[in-house]
Amino acid sequence: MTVYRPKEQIQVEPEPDQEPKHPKRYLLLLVFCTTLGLLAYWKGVDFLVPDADGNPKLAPKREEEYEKRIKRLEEAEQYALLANRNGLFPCYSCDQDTSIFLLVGHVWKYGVTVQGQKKRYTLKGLNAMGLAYEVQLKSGTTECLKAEADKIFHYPLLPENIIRVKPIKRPPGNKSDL
Amino acid sequence: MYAPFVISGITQHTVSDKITFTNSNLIQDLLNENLQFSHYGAGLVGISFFYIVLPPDNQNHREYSRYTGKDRLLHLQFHLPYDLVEQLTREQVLPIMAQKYLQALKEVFPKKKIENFVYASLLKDMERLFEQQGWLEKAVSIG
Repeated sequence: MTVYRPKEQIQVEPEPDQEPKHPKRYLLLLVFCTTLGLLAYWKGVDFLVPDADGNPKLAPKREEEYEKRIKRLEEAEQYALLANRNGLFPCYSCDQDTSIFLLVGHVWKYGVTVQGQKKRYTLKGLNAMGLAYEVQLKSGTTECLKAEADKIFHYPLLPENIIRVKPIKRPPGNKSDL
Repeated sequence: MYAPFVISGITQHTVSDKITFTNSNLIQDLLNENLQFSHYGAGLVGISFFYIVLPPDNQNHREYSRYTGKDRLLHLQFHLPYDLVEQLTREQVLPIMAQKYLQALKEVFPKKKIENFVYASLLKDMERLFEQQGWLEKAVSIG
């Protein structure tokens, strides 16, 4: 038989003082957040790793990137863009004229690249203009830049330029001496 | 492009005169004078081709092909063996260039799936033109 007590007889026990029921849970949360923070920090500096003595050194991936860069600088290319058709070409060295007539084989521009042709000029660009790409030197960057400077500065002495009514100072496609 | 068929080179300076300026223009002029892209469909209006002729230690320039649908152009660059070109005369290199040109297009066209263009007919007419010039008589293994 079920006994029902009137409401006034039901005593509601007061809530005890607020105390953390699971203090270890909060401690674990704190440790987790700290670890996450450290991981985030290290992720931002993933180019450094500790060596055997605990001193910082370049991470293997970063070391590999460095070596690739050095290799590219050692494999530079000095090239010439030459007219592959008889016709007018843009001229950046012609004072008031914006174009110049070139014959097949004439120099339009000298340059140096460390990345190869595809990235330097698009196929579309070279053939749209009617130019051929000629590799004249493959060496380190310094040697190639010297060769380029030599050719740009001595361009005025080329026979194709000397015979012009008004010789130009540098190849038509070179906007500056650099 | 300044013409529907444009041919040029990415060459080592020691062999440039055997590829560009003379031979490349012979092939280019023959194609432009005898073939019209419109006869084969509207999907293609030009082919731009580069011969790469560089010593083996120069790996800066790779073989490449790309069809741009927007301007309906096909761009290709393919190797010719540098050592072979260096040994031969300009006249001997010309048929090798023609054969390579045809071979490259036969390889590339099926992969590009150019719509509204009957490339097989173009290749057939191109082959006929090269045969008339005697450029396909001696088959050379050019890789």
